[in-house]
Amino acid sequence: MEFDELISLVDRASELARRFDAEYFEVRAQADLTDGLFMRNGVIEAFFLDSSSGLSVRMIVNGGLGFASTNRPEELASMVEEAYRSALAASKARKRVRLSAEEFRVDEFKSPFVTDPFEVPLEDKVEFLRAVDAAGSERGATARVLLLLSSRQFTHFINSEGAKITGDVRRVTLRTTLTLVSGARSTQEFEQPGGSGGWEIVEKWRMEEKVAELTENMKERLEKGSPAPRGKMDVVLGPKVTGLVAHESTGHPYEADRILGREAAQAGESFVKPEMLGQRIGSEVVTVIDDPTIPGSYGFYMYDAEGVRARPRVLMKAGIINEFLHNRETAAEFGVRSNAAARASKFNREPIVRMANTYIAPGDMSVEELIEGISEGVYIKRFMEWNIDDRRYNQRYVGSEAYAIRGGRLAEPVLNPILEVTTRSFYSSIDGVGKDLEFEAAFCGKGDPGQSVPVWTGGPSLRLRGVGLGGV
Amino acid sequence: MFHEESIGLAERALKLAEARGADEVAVHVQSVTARQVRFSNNRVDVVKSWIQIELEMQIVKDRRIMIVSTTNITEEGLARFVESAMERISRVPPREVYAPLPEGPFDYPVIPGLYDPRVDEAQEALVDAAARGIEAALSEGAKRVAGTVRSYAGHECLLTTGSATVCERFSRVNMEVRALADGLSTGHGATCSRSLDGIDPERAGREAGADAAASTKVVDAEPGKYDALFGWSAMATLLGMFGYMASGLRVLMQMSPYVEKIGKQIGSELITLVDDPLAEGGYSSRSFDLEGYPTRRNVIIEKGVLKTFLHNRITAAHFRTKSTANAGWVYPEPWYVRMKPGDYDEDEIVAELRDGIVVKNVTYLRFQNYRTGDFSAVIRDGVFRVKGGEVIGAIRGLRLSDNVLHLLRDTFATSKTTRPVTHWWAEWGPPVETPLLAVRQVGFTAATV
Repeated sequence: MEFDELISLVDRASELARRFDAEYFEVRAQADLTDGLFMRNGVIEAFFLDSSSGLSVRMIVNGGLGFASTNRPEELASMVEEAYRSALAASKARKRVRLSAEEFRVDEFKSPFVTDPFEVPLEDKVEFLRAVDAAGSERGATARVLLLLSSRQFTHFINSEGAKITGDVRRVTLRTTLTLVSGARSTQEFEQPGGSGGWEIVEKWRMEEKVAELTENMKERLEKGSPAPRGKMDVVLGPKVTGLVAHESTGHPYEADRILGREAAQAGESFVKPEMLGQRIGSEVVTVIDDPTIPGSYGFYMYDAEGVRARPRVLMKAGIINEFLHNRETAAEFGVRSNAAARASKFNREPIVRMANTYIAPGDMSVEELIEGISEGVYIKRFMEWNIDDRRYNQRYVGSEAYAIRGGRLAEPVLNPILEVTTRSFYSSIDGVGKDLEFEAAFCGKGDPGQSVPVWTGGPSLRLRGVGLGGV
Repeated sequence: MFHEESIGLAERALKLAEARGADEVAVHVQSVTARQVRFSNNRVDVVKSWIQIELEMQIVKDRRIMIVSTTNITEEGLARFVESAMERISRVPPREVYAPLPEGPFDYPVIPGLYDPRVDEAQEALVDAAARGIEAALSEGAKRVAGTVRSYAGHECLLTTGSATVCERFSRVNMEVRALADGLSTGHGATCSRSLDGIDPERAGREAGADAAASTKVVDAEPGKYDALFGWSAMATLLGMFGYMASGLRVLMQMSPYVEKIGKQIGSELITLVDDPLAEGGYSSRSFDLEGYPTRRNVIIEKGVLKTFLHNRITAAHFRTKSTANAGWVYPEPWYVRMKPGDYDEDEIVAELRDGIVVKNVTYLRFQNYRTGDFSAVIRDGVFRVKGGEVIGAIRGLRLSDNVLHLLRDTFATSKTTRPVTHWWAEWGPPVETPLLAVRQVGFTAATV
């Protein structure tokens, strides 16, 4: 559906919704257009064009929350009625849903761009991918898998409390996976730059250079890598690793719906409890922020999917738990205002509490300075494998590019060092924070049905004292 | 006719693409009404419903393949969309390895038990199922219960320029229950069926509640290697992944531990793995793939020997073989993975473990190296220590850290009963029908600080 048509359908649906005796309703239209090029070893395996557009309604009736959606204009009335019936059904089986009081506006936001990614000739995109592929193949990468995605998300939102927000955000990302096989040994790497805006951001990625460097590094590790040491030692982690840690072990456990148990059967709950606000969880040098408003970021938005104006959220401030991520429902439960963390991946998904761009604030040390202070340890610059338990407390990151540290200097590459650590130990053991803040694009999964939303994960290099490297 | 509108829509899309120069076209239309009840803390959080129709196409021009999908099916919207696709398709380079869409007409199998009309109007039944699951879990000792009940009913149609014309009705209902006796003591139960009466909310709730309650009695266990028994929810994740790794495209991408393993003994003789979309009433059985081939039963692993990868027409051309009728839009994918049952009762396997661990659920499975099969995963919802052949208590803080080929190779027992299982964390593959599986010397690690 065209944007004008969606706006007019939102108006019609909200007129229909007003006829029901709902305490609250909202209507959201969303159109997502994605084009994707999937290249394997220099060959375009597939070219995608995905256009998804439609509407959804949320309604609160007698305290029950109902959600319905459709992409069929002729089903508009049925959709609104379904939302009402669903809310009524929900009202019979739970306590009342309340929403936090918020100030709403009529506004719009866009991601600025110079060159619309959808206007870039496909030939140029293919050429770009070929150059990235060649940077790997010429250096011996056995398999190169590239997925270039350009997307545009248009949203139009109205609620029964006066909000009317229109958003239009373009994004570009490239997922690169490399495999290098040498005899019976092999190693893999992935890299995913991304951002909101136009094609001009692609040039800043220096992907050919990055892939060439990665491939050389993979070769070196297969040729010269020695088994990773185990036991208690000092460790330096690169920005790729620390960004993921910020997302997984600060962002997720600070999502208020997890804290309240709403995601218990799916993504899980949280080790963080409401009464832990204000408690120390990390050393004084650590601050973690989630900020949807960063210009050019992959998780960019200025208003969330409930029409609340976005702002930076300081989740951990100098090691102290400072703020949780809220939508209006969890904010009401906690007696606070929403901090605009409600997001919905598509028109047919319920807005739930999500991160946007989560990062560890940079310090003032160089990587060399972080390493200088270590007599014996490991530098884990990149990772492949990770996971974390559903309370976000017990996590594991396995290095791909990693080096031994001896006498304050980098030594030989080491293979697959395993950092398996608790969240409290991780943040408490940090004594040095680099100034080299970097961001990587990712898709964060949560919700049921699943919702994959674009985010940035970010961090500087960090030095951890006396953590254990393990494995079996 | 239930499918009149969808076939009409597919015909319109196909003609639009042909009129604009497409050489070959496959159009898939899916119309679905879906409902969901989500609950947590023993109460319903939200009731949702969807009324949706979606159109997907594979368009080919001069050996270029484009995959498009749209939810905008108005006459004008579809015409604009197809035009936009056709304008782009000639601007990507042609493929070197190519095979045309299969030529029909085809006879499609009629698979009984795929559709229950009652699922169309299941809203109240779902709310009722949620209440029954919650009650059952609480009755076993759980304090808090969360979960989801979902229903899908509709039909899908495929039309191709290769004379494939097929429509199939479907319905699915599934439920999962996660019970918590305290923040760390949890259990999980899942039930799924093609029919409303086929799910068993009480069983899912009881099993989740019982494991949560049993998890409160904690014993110590050091990281290391143990014989392990994987439960139903765990197997939904593991077996789905075993099947998914057979995708021919994953093998071409070097993203599978099955690379260069065809014809080799990669598993114990107890491992026979079949992709069986023809299973009667199978939770994800279906009669056609998205290129138009009638689906068929494919034995992926037989008595431990890797027999085939799963192919669409393109990966088949790469491997100089025939399609196995597993075409999705890009990846060939298994439809419904079933593992051959064994001879054991669950109690007998626990007794065989001697000194081991029972793992009820496996989540968050991530690979260090897809090609070697090295991975780790979070284990939860009932992780129990076995000593002397008996469960002596629950253990916490361990993580499954092992290798796909090792799990297949060192399997030493499978249960004689099987179940269809799917759940939120079974993210690697399709729904499965699985026995319980026991493996010797499985790796478990722990946070060191």
